[in-house]
Amino acid sequence: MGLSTSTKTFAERLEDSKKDKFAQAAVARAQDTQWEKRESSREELGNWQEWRDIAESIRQHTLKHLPHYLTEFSDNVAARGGHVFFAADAKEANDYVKKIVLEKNAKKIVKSKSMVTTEVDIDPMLVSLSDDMDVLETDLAEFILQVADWDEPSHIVFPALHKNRDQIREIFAAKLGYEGDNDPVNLARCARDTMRKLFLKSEVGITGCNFAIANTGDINLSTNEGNADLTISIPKTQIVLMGMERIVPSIKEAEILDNMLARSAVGQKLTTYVTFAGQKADDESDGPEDFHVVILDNGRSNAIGTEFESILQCIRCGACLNVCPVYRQIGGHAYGSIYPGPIGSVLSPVLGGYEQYGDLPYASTLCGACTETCPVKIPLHELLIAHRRVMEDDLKMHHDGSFVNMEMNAVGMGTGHPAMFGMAMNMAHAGLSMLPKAKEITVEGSLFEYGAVRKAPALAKGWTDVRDLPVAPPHKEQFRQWYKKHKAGK
Amino acid sequence: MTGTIENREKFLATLLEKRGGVELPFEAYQPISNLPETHLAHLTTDELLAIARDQAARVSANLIETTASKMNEVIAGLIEKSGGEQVMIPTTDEFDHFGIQVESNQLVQWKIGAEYRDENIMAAQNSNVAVAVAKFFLAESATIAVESEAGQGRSLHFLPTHYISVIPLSRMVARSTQAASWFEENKKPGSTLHFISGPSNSGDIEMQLVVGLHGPLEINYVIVKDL
Ligand code: SF4
Repeated sequence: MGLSTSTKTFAERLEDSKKDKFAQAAVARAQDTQWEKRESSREELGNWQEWRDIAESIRQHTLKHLPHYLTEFSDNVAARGGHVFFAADAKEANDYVKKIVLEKNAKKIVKSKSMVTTEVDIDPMLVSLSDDMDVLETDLAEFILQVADWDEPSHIVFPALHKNRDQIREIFAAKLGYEGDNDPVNLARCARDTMRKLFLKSEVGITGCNFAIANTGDINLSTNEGNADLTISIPKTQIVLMGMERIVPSIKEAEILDNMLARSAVGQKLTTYVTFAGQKADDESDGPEDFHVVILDNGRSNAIGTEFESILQCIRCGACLNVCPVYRQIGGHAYGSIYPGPIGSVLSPVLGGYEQYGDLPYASTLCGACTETCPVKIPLHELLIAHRRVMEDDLKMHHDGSFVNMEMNAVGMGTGHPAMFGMAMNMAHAGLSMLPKAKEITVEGSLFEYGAVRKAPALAKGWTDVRDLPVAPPHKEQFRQWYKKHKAGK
Repeated sequence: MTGTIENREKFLATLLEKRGGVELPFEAYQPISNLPETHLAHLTTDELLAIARDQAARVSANLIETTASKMNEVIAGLIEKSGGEQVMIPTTDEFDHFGIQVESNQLVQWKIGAEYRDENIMAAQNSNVAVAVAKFFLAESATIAVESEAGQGRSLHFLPTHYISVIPLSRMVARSTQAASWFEENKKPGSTLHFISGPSNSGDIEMQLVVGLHGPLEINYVIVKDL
């Protein structure tokens, strides 16, 4: 799978997404639920903008001094007996992991959820090492995807969002001999029992890393399930894969970012398990005796020193996905990258290039909701525009947007003539109110507070085929009418 | 024993090249605000405890308030309610220090020493209940902070089915900021820190909250008000 999750074109993936009504409804429900949880937890904290400034300052400081912190961190890991491997790309990372697994002659590997291991495609490599190799994804969602023949994730926080309880029950029945009902509690208990047995036999544990602590050589992991904690406790060997930017000076900065992450991802004050761990001390009896950290570039350095550097501030909270109107309509799989939504639309071209991911910066309304919600203040929509500018102006990669261009020409004609523009503005609300509206109106304060149009004719059809068209707030008079009246009264 | 570092020079050279070959002079991080330190810090112990009570319910943890004289009775009651069977305790001096006595005819203790790895892990796996003392209790998020070390391994906190955390009220702080800053100065070299807020849970199936995925199915916070 790697960074790319599909061999289809963007247009083909969109067609597939349009047909998947369950996934669309699941994404909409997830966005609405998360909206409420996220916003109320931020409100409860208070001074949210100041917290964002602090988080941004930590991330920017670290990126500015990345070589310093990577040196300090790796020195500290090594001082405790651990091993650090700097990998320029996915192949180097995979080769190193393969070398360790073969050296250990390991056949039982447990993994906790990590985007970066998916990015470098570690699972197929491990599985191909021997016929009796057991690789277990231990996050419930990843476990479900694995049991479903390694289905691809569709969200960075809820990877199995596109699967319903009946589908999961069927998969468990077919693959695990599960005989219970579709109640999530029972399904989860089945997963727990299956995984616990494998955990106890595991020889190698593989984790990602939320943050790496430069001055101690510890890694910081956050999970709600506790699977990362078992992964760093039971196997004798642990391999950590981390993007090079996931570093902070000390536990004090990690603590702040952990709080920002939990509130932004799932509206919690802190994630259930937040752990700081490394190689075990000599007198400890569990934890890794062999501790390896693979620090990965894999295209991240393409952003260093450019206008895209701030994308490396990302703490993978998924909040930008959860507010994005485009993600809402097309879902995670349509992006064709393991990093979907606004973060993916900016990051994927940086990591994988414009040839493959050049469509993604156009998959945006540029409404700025992602920028506004980002806890580390990444100017996501500005970076999307910057990608478009690089492609159009610098690389002359004219985006194939014949349909879009036709629409925009029509809009250009209308807005270019004052009389036509005025007429269009006056008709807008009346016109929209006649169109069939979505029945459900999403949570208060959300993007579609006044409802949305699901099926529009003519030019707007292309839009409503894949997106909701928000209805503008009711008004008493247009700004232009108001302005005329007030100007006349002067 | 010192570990190894591979490919660092080449990797860092690429980063330097991206910056046009100019290394930025290093300055340590200077916090731009004291908000983390001041947030909730003005509240009294009673006010913080009220927040913790409310939050414990939100993270599906049972919070029980007691006094030193009743503490052991409360712990015994919780073990019984959890179904008894094997109980695991750490080997630290904190139980003696706080007068904690765990009565059970199936009591196992975490053994100090790397040679007990398998024995300790299996004893934790076979324990129905673990009892341990929290280093800190974070009121804001109803979180216990524990430090895994030789006398209480990592598995002790994650493998048993039920978990009882004994929390001297004097160890309650406003939030993770205070705990992190203490650990920054005092963490034992090589130890592991766990911040745990209630039992393991997941929302991965249709976003319905399910409690008890990998770690304990139940977590009890026993707050001892006069310790
Ligand atoms: S870009 Fe910002 S909002 Fe999106 S996942 Fe990263 S940190 Fe979260």
